Amino acid sequence: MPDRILVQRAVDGDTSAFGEIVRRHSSLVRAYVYRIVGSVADTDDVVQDAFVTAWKQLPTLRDPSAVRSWLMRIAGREALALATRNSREDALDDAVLPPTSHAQPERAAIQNDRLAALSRALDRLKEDQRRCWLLREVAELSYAEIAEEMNMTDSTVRGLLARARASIAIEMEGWR
Amino acid sequence: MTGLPSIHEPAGTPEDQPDLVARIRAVDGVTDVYSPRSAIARIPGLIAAAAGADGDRVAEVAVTVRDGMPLVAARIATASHDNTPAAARRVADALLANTPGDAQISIQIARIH
Amino acid sequence: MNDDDALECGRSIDELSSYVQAGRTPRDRHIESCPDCLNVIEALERVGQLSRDLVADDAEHLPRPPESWFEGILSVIHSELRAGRSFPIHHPDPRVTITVTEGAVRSLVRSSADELDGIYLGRTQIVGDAETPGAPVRIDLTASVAWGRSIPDLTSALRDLVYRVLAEHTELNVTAVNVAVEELHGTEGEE
Repeated sequence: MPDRILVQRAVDGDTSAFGEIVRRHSSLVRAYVYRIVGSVADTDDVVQDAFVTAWKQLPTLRDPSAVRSWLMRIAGREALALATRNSREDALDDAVLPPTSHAQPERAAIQNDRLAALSRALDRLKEDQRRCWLLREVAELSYAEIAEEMNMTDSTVRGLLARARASIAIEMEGWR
Repeated sequence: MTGLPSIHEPAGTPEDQPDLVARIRAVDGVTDVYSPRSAIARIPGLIAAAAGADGDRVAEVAVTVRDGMPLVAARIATASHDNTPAAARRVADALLANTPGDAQISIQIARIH
Repeated sequence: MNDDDALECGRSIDELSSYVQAGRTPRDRHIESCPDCLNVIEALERVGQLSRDLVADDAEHLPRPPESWFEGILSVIHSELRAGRSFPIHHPDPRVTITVTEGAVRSLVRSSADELDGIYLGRTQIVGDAETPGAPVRIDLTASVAWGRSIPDLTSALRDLVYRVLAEHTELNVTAVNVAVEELHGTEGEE
């Protein structure tokens, strides 16, 4: 069944249609959240909460066929909130902590060299740059939507994205 | 009159109401009976009951007093191969036959399957 | 390396990144003819495609959650069920009140419609004052039809089915059943 039909049925109360939406989109949403929060346990919690929020807000979704990016936005918001809380707690600790690692120890090693290089390059981006990149490249949000999510201006977002892409390209091409 | 618990208590205990529930269940076209109290609290039980699972001992028929009058409320499921309004009317008739004359009867069909 | 990585021609990598981001318009004559600039642009475009590949790779290799994770979501949702309105059913004795929930009716309509081959039912809207006995209501449905099948035949079958189901299980006064076919499925790229 197409996404649009599943969403319409779920809005009407069809829980098995919603279950199908969850199964269809959960792995991509999880991958996205994982790059923001960095642990599988947190990913599990955040994405679960995000789907429950999505069920409640589903009647407000204007374009049912765009449910995937809508889900990404909800999940991204909750992931960001968690990551922000976590980094604030880290900052309050007196102990000297290493910067939050965005390496992905819990997923199987990336087989493809190029993808592995990209993954490393992503890890090395500044926090804001990485988040803009994820919101744009993975969640496929518009610049205006990213600006709203990150509480920034449109031009700040464009600048961060341009910088993120430049940094990645530099590192991957070995222009150092 | 048998089978009717004290009508001055709020929702009776399962032990008080097996007769009433059994009578509702026995009505042709009724597949199950649910607690008319908070729908939220009962949904897991509703789903379990619909799947045929036994053993949920929450009262399925609530007998309360509202404005001094007894109110018998039942929340049921009916079968899709039967005519639902007719089945519901049969349940109401069964309840009318087993409750005091001034009792109000309220039936809600929450599922048809 | 400083933040403003400059090429020999004087353009910076950041600048080129913004240029690619803007879709390479308005066309910059220098950039489009400078080999160093074009090299960088190619690299930037490669990164774009690789990004999508990386996310797909992540999705494949992240450990799959246990079944209880999915059930956890559904069990919370069940307590937020959308029961909707209560439609009256007549009984001659004034002591009796009988209603059927909108949720029950929609659920039945959906599962009945699922029996039809070649058409998927989306939304089921009961429009009108359905909580008043005898008040006229119309039923607005949306659907998706399998590519290549007859839309009039399938919508007609769906319409008849919905009329029948509502007549058999409610006392709604249904004046019309409208089916809006919003898309076709089964074409390339659709499921």
